[in-house]
Amino acid sequence: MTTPSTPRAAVAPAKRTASVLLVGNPNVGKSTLFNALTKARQHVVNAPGTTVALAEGTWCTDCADVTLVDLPGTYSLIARSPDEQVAADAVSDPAHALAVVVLDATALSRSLYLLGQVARAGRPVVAALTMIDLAEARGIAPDATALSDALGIPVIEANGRNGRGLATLAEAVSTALVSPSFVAGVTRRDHEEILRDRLTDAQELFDWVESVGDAAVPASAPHSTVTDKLDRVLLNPWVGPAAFLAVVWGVFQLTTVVAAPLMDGVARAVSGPVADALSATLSVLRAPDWLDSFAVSGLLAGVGTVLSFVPLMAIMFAAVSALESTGYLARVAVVADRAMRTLGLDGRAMLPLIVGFGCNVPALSATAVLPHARQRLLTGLLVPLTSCTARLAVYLLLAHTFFPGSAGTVVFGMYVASVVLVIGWGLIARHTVLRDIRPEPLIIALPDYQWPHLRTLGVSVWTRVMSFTRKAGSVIVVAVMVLWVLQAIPVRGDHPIADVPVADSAYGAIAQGAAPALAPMGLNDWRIAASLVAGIAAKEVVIGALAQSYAIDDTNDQSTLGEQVRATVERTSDGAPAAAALALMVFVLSYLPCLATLAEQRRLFGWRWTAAAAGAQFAGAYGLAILVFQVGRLL
Amino acid sequence: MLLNALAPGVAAHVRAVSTESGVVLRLREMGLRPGALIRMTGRASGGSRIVTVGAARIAIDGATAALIDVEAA
Repeated sequence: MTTPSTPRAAVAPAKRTASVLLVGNPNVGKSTLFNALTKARQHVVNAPGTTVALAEGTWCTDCADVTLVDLPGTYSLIARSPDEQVAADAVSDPAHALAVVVLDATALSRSLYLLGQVARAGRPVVAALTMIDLAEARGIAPDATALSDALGIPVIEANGRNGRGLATLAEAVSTALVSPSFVAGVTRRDHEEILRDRLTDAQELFDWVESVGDAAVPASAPHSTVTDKLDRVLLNPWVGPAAFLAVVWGVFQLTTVVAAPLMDGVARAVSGPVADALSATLSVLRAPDWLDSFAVSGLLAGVGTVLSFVPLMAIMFAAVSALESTGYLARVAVVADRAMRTLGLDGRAMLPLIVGFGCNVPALSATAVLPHARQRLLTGLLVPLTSCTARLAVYLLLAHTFFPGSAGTVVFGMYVASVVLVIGWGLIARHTVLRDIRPEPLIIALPDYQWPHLRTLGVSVWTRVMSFTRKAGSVIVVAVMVLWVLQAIPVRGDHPIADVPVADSAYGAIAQGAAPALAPMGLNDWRIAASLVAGIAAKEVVIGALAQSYAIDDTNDQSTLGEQVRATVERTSDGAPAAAALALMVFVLSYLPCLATLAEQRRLFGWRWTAAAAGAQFAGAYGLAILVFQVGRLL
Repeated sequence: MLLNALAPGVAAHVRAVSTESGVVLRLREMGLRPGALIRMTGRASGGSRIVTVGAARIAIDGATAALIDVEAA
């Protein structure tokens, strides 16, 4: 197992504030606690040199302003993934004054083992005991006082959901920052020394865990719980996959059917009343026409694009957070494990990949369900190959025009092609640039089912939407403005700026220059090239751009547009229009993701990965489209 | 016998795990240590096994479950 080394300081503490780490197993209420302690005073940062996102927030205790760092949930500091490595590195970094270790009352020995490892690193510790209500219901609740006595550190019962114990926890942390508390009975040991003989070291900690657990946990036979009953259904070999598909269908509906009117509403408000008000203001100020066009069709259109994505992203973030906090996501890892294993991915990768068929942008955000950074990267690079609904409009126009008798079959074929591309590119990536992804054995704890906590959900959705708006939004706005500039500048004829027929604009000139490159796929026409260039901004505008180039005013008049496109393609394809149309569909499926997708990829994985993946995808689509046309024309 | 052959509801003690030490360690960290008493809860879709160790529920994929030697309790 290789784990890339990450820089030591996951997050450097700010001046005159103490940096405190929040450490715990996955699904122990750690993030709920984090949200309750920092409220909205938090933001998402990447651990330096990694794509591992950490939430960092300000927690005002009585004696100090604390920078609280929510580390990735881990079972162990002997890391098996980059995310776990970030947690391990942060714990061994003396820049952090204290660790608050979250102990799950329902799985105490697993939590105590992690606590033992933190103590091994020599970090002062305060323990927060969570899930106490669930443990009480099952008759296995540990005695916090006995635990505190056995461990020699403060153990505070804390509940992020109702705020109980948070003040006591703040007090304990304030005290520990002044006079540090260390775990009794665990010898400090160097991390390198531990790694040399990790099994023996672990055994020593297990023995210690047992001695502490015996002192604090009542002996009781566990009885069947609601969770066990639910699992009998949700993990059942037959019902489980059906239930999973139903959940995914629900998320899919949320991101398409429910989000669509909200997105339309925002877009209409921006292009309607807001644009009118802006135009009116500019005309009062006697601004020139080009400035009005720039402000409305450039700047405001860009802002409108970002804003229209906000409801969609909020819905997606809420759905992902809810699935996570109910405990169902851990079950998804089990149910879809075998299906995703061939790609070296966790079963949870199935969720973003399916959501991608609705819209790629929230699907990228849904990669957050994966606990391993490399798996998030691979899934995020594959998402643009899932055929979003915006591409469907293009398939429908072409399929009805060129294959009137079998349009349905052709469109279905495009979805099959999309799945084949995801698997094909996934296998290529795994055997080339992402060779370090190896299918890990599935060994995970299944937490108790719980209702999602609304306030925590709200805070987490807000933080993530803000991060999207700031980081991806700026890129989208700039790109839409660049597109406006290209369409506004005349390169031929005598036209005023911002009032240029498409053919005479810089945008038209680029399309005319690019069109010959489409000749090998039988599509050497500038109008088709122009629509593909516009499709980079958003796949929704491909049809509109075609209509604009053919100077058809009514974009809903698809039969006229279809006839025009058919006439063009019959000419460019040298008598094989069906093959060329199929090539165009295959090209549209995967040539380049839309701007919003690229911007979100950049936010999550950085420019290098985004550009390399887009380049590879474009080259692949180009080759495939040529192949489709050249083979198709022979048939 | 091997863990994947345990019938639902049957309890067993873990004897040994024969695979690379990283996976052995992770299983031990999750509570599947030699001598630990576990109970088979059932088989999930895709061949994974769900076992309880103490009060904790652990899911293990079928292939890994076939590397864990257990003795019926």
